[in-house]
Amino acid sequence: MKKYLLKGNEAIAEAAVRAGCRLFFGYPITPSTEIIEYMAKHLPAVNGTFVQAESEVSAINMCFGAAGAGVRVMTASSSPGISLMQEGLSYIAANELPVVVVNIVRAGPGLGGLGPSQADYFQATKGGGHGDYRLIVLAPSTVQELVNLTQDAFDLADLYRNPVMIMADGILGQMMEPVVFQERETRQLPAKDWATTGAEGRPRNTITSYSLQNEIGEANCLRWEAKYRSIAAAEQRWEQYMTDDAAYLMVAYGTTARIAKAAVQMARKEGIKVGLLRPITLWPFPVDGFKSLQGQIKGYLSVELSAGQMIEDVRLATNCSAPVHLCNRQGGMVPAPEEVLERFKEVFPAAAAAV
Amino acid sequence: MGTNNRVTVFVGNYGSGKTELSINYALDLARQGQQVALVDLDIINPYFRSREKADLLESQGVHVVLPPAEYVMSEVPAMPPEVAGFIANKDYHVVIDVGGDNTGATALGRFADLIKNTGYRMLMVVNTNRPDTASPAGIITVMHSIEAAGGLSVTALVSNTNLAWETDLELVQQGQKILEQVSLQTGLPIDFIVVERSLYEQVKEHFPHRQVFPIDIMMRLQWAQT
Repeated sequence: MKKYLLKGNEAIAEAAVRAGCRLFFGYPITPSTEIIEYMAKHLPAVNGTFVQAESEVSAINMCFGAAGAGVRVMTASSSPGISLMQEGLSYIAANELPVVVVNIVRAGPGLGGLGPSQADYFQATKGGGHGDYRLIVLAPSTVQELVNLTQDAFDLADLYRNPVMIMADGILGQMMEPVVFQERETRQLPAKDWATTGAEGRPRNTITSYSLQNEIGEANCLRWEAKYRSIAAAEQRWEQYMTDDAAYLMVAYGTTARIAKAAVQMARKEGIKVGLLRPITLWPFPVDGFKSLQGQIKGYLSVELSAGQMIEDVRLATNCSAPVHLCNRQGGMVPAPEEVLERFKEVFPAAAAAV
Repeated sequence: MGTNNRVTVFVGNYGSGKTELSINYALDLARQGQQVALVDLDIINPYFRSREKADLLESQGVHVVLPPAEYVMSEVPAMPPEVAGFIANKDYHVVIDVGGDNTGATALGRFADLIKNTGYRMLMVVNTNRPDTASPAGIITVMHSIEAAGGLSVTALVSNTNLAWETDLELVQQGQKILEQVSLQTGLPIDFIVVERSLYEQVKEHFPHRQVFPIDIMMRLQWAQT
């Protein structure tokens, strides 16, 4: 099987094409532009259609319409563009439509900067738009995983009839690594009998999220709530690294997980018993991963490119059973593994002293 | 007019390895005692550009020509006027790191006439494990689009087939085979093969009649292989 050297952004786009995505609507923005460029270049060759929308508001609503017609569709952007899409995402979630959205996160708030960031965690996992809804949020940490999770994203979206977000920071979008595109087993997915494809010979399907009766509104909310609960139970994903004998745990996703992994390796060389828990799904947050380790961990270090957002979920997942500290850089800056280890020793002096 | 070695322009598909090669090439010239200016013409985006290594390069005697500091993180094609000065200055070797694809080569058009008048060589850097340059036809298509956008003609090919840390001799051979077909079809020579230093002896032994240029990887993230 041929290996390619791909940029993260190209890998996402190629994986989407291979997953059967034939419609893409987007508006270019650094550092996710290569996704849009790649789709513009490669979709016509597979009888797909690429449209550069006049804005992100327009792009997400084009996705809304295409998904309603039962077609695999994707959009991609970076932070400010994703903010513009929030209203559309709320509508797509309410109408239970499968759309894959990629956020290659850059520094915010506001126009922010072009450098990498993880400061869109709250927006992605807690609902950036209005109402009670959830996105399934996947957080790859290598270019190969960008490929695999992009393909999974389309299946998850179809399976749960829910928007799925792939969230990676600018470094992952831009860095180049060897990847393969493995043939995948086709997952058994429910028929899209709800799609508005022309009602010939069958009752009319309607897609709307407006309910004038509060009773119906509440029934809808309860149905969605039950769906989100079942996703939370079935779809948590995480990776544990050197956790068997760990007394301390670093928690990080995406790029910072790789930096934290390097920091764990450095710490282990010094004899410090620290491991890494890497959430792969940010929503649902992998609380089960924490549960299995809770008795043994004396302290957690959340490593983030934000002012500290995931750290709140770490505290909830562990019921604050041990101290949770933060190691972070912001505004496009990225910590070196040495910096992470230094911060670890600063907040957990007992860990280093125990060696 | 014509080809000379004083002005070397590296072009290629984005991700073909132009920046790593430009940095190493400039450092090599400096080690040979030449006065060298490296022009970072990458206006495509602010990740993984040679300007990140400006301090290291300066300390090794390579003058790095960059936009003013406040624009270094921007994506605007703001190049300082000294670029033209260096291209015209016969005391300097000039290495130009052009942004990827035809989009990146557009920035080259601004200096095309000057470069043409002074003489140059423009090397098309090819990694056959990149999706758009995996076949001779793909390579030639990318090359023509770059030439059209940059207003200059490619004078030779450079083989830079790699899969980062997974590169081995067999992969380099496969890339070289594809590039030889391009060479036959276009009449362009293959100037040299680029490999990471650790592969140099092995590749040199296999291609005794080829020039092999060993490079040290500068832009790789220190945690990439953990």
